[in-house]
Amino acid sequence: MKTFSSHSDYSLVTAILPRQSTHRVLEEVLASGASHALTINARGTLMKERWYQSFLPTLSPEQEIIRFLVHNSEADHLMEQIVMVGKLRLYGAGSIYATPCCELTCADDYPLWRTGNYTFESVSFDIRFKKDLVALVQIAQKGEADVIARAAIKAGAQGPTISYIRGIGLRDRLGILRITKKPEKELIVVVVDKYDLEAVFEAMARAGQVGLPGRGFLYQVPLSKGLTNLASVFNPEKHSASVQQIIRAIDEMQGDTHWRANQLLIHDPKAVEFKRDTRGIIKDSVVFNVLCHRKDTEILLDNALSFGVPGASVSNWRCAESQAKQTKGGLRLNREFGNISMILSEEVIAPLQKSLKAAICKHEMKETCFFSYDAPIAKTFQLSTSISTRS
Amino acid sequence: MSKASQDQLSALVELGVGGIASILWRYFRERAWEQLKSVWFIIAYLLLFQVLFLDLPIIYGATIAAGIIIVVVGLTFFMEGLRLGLMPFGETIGAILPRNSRLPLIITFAFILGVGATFAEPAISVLKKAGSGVQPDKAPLLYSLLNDFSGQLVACVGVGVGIAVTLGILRFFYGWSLKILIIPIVLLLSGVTLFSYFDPILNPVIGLAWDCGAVTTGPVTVPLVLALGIGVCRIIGDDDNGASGFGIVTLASLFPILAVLGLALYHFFAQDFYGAANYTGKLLEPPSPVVKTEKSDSEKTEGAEPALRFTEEEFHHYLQAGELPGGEDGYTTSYRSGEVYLEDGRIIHRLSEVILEKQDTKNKLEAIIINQTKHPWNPDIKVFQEILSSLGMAMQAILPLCAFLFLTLLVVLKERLRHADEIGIGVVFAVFGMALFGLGLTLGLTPLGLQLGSNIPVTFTSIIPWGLSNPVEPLFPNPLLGKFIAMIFAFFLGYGATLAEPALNALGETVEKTTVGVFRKSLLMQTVAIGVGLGIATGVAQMAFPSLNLTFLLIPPYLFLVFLTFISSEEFVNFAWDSAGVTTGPITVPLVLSMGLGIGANIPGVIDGFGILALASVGPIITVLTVGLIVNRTRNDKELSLVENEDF
Repeated sequence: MKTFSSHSDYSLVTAILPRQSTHRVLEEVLASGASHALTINARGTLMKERWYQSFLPTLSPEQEIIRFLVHNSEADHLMEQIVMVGKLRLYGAGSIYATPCCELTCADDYPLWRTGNYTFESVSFDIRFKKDLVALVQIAQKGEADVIARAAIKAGAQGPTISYIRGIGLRDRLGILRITKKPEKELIVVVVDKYDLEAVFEAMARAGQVGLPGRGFLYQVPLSKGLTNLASVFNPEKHSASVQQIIRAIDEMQGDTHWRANQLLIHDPKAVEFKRDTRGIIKDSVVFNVLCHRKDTEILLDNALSFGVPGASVSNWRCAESQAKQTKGGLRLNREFGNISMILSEEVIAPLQKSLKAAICKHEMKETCFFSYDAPIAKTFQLSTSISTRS
Repeated sequence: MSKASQDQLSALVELGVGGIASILWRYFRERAWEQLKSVWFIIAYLLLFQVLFLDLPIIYGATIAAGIIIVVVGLTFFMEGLRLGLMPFGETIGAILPRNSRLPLIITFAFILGVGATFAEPAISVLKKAGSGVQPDKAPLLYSLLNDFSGQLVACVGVGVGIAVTLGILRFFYGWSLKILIIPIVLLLSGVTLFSYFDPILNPVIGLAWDCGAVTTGPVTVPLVLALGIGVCRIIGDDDNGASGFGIVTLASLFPILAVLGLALYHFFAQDFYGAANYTGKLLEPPSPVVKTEKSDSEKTEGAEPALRFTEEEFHHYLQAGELPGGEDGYTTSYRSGEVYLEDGRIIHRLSEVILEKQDTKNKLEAIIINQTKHPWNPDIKVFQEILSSLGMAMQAILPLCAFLFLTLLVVLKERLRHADEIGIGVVFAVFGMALFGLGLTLGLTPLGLQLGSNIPVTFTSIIPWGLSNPVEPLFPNPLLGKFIAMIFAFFLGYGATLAEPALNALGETVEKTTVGVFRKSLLMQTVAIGVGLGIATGVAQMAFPSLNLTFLLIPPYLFLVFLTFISSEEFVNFAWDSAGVTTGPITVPLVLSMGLGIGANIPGVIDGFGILALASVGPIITVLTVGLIVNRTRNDKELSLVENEDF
C-alpha cells in the first residue's frame, strides 16, 4: 500500500528557453542540487515583418519548456539562477514564471523537491520580476496554432510557445472508431501582462473559435511572478531596439503599464471597449495535473475517463536528473514522464484523486504526483453550464 | 471499473449506424483529400503535358484513369496504416530497447531487422529475376552476378543493410556524428565507382550497385526504421540537436552499394565471371539477333492482305542486311508465347517468337487512334492476376517484418503491446493500401509515365510516339530550344513525382513531429522536390547533349556535396541525406527511367537512365543542405547578438 502526502506552498516554475541555452541552464541548475526537471520540446512563433520574408526559408525558433515543482521558499533562488544562466534579461532569451499550486499530493517515492538540498545563493542580482502576469493556455487542433499565435501577437502578447500534446476525450469513447480522430493537438502558452489580458484572450478565443464544438479550450492561469523576453518578430536588427524592447523599457521606468492606455490619447471607438463574448465561459475551475511514468499514463487516463472526466490532455516530458543512467557512449538515458492535465471544478478533485490513488496502488505504479492550480476563467464549447461531474 | 461508470461510457459510445457511417465517411474523405494533395500535381501535369502540349492522345485512357483512382485510395490506406500501425509499433520498440536490453541484443536485433527488411522488399525479388535480360557477351560480370552469383548478390545487399541499421542504431548510443560516417563512405564509393567506370567489364555493374541502394529504402522499411530511431532517441541523449533519430535510412542506402561493388570487385579479381579464366558455369549459345523496336506489343494486325505480305526477296534482303523496305515504319512487330515482364521500366519478352508483318503506313495511324478510342481499356492487363500479385507483394513486405517486431516485443523485451487493436488495424490498412497502391501503379501511373516519358524527346527530335506508329515531327524547329524545353519538363516531372512519394511524405511528417513543427513538412518536401527536379533536368541535359560527359557532371556535384556536408549542421546533414535515400521510390523510379529510356532510344550513344537517377539523388541533398545553411545563418545572427550583449 502506497502512502501519499499532501504539501502546500509549492510552485510550478516554468522556463521557456531557446534550444541553445537549455543545456547550459539545466546543467547549472542540477549542479546546484535541484533534484530533477521535466522538459519538453516546443517552438516559438515569429512574425514576418516584410512580405518577401515569407518566401525565405525560415524556421520558427526552437525552444524547450522546463518545469520544476519547487517549494515557495526556494522558487525565487531557482528563478534567479535561471535568469542569470540563461541571460533572460536579454531580448529573445526566453521567459520564466511561477504558478502557485493550490494543492500538491505525491506518492512518497516521488522525487519531490526537498527544501535544503538546493544550494544556489542569490548574489543580490536585483532582478525585478513582474508580479502582474497571467498565462493564457490554449488547446487547439493540430495546424491551427500558428493562426492563434499570430492573433495573440497582434493583440499585444509576445512570443507564444507551441508544443504538441495528445487530446483525450470524445475520441477515447468511440471504441475502435477512435482511429478516425487524430489525437494530436497543439498547446499554445502565452504570458501576458494583466493589462493586455482581455485583448489577447479575446483575440485568441476568436482566432481559435473556442466557442464552437470541438475547437479546444482556452484558459488563464494567474502567475505569482515572472519575466518574459521571447522574440516575436523576425529580423529585428533593422532598428537597434525592437518595439517590444522599447515598451518593456518604458514599463520598467514607469513601474506600471497604465501609460499604455492609448484610448485616452487616440479616439478610436473600436478600441475603447472590448465586448467579451461570455458564451462558454467557465469560472473558477482548477487545472488538475497527474504526473506519472509514461507507460502508466494510459491506465490512469482510462481511470479518469471512466470516473467521468470530460476530457484531458497528455504531454510527455523528459526527466532531466542529476544522477541518470548512461549509455556506454556517455549519453544520458532519459526517463519519460506523462502529464495528464484536466480542467475541473474544485469539488470533483478529491473523489477523482481517491479513484486514481486506488489505481496507482493496484498497478503498483512508481513516482506519481498530483498537483493543481487555479484557472479562474476558461472558455470552451458548452452544452450545459457546469462541468460534467458524476451525478 | 465500476458498473455505473461502465454504463456511462457505453451511453456515450452509442452512435447508431448512421452516426458510424457519417464518421467513417468524413474520416475517409479527409484522409483521401490529404493524399490527393500530394499526387494531384504529377497526375495533372502528366495528363496536360501529353494532351495539350505534345498534342498526343492518351492511350488506354480508362485503364489509366482507374489506376490513378486506385493509387489515391491505396495511398490513403497505406499512409493511414503507417500512422496507426507501423510507425507507433516501431517507435514503441525503439523506446523500450535502450532500457530493457543489453548492447549485444540490440545489435542482433538491428542486424536481423535490416536483413529481414531487405528480403521483404518486393523490389529485391525483381533483382533475382532480372538476370535473364542481360546479354552475357556485352556485360559478362553483370550477367554472372545476376545469374551465377545471384544468391551472393542478395545476401550482400541484405548484410549491407543489416550492418547499416546496426551502425545507425549504435550511432545513437555513442553519439557519433553522421558526418564522420558519411564522408568517408561517399569518398570511398566515388573512388570505386570512378575506377569501375573506366573498366568495360565493371562499368555495367555500377548501375546495378546504385540501384540496389535505392531498392532497399522502400516505402515500408523507411517509416519503420525512422520510427525505430525516433523511439531510441526519445530515451537516449542530451537532446542537443533536433535531428536525433535520423540517419539510418542514409546508411541503409549507402552500404548496399558498397557491398555490391565490393562483391563485383571480388569476382573481377578472382576472374570467375562469365567468360573469364576461372568461370565454372556453362557458356551459352550465342543469342540470336534481336530486332530492336520501340513499338508496343499490343498492336494486332488483322489477317494480312496480299499487298501487305513480305515477298521472298524481301526476306532474303532482311536476312542479309537486317532491314526491311519502308524502314522502321514499314512493318509491325508482335510477339507470340513466352513470358513478358516489367523490369526497371522496360518491358522484356523472354523466349517469345517475334513476328514481323508488313503494314500499310498511310492508314495505320488513323486506324490505331480509332482502335484506341474504341478500346480505352488495355486488353493485355489481367486485373485479377495483378490484384493477386500486388497483394502478395504487400503481404511479403509488411507481414514478416511485423511478425518479427511483435515477437521481439513479446518474447525478448517481455512487454505487452498497448493499443494492440489500433496497431492491428493499422497493419491491415497498410497491407491493403500497399496492395492497391501497387495495383494502381501498374494500371495507371507507370503506363502514363511510360507514354509521356518516351514522348518527351518530341520537343527536339522526330520520334514515334508511344503506342502509335507514325513518326511525329519535332515540336520546335530549333533543337536547342526543344532540348531546353525538354529539360524544363523533366524538372517538373521529377518535382511532381517526388511530392507524391509515400516514403518522403512519411519522412516529412516525422521531421515535423520530432521538431514540434519547427521544420515544416512542406518546407522539406518542396526543397527535396526542387532538388530532384534539378537533378533530373541536369540528367536530361547530359543525355540531350552527349558532349557533356556524365563523369564530369557527377563528380563536381559529389565533391561539392562532401564539402557542403562538412560545413553543415548535424541536423540538416541528417535531413538532407535521409531524404535523398527516400526519393528513389516507387513513383519516381519508373517515371524517370522510362523518360531516360525514351530519350536514350532517340539519341545515339546513350543507353540508360542511370546517370539521371544518380543526379536525382545528389540534387535534393544539395538543396536541403543549402536551405539549411541559409536558415542557420539567420539563426546564428540571433545567437551572436546574445553573446555580444553579455556584459550589460
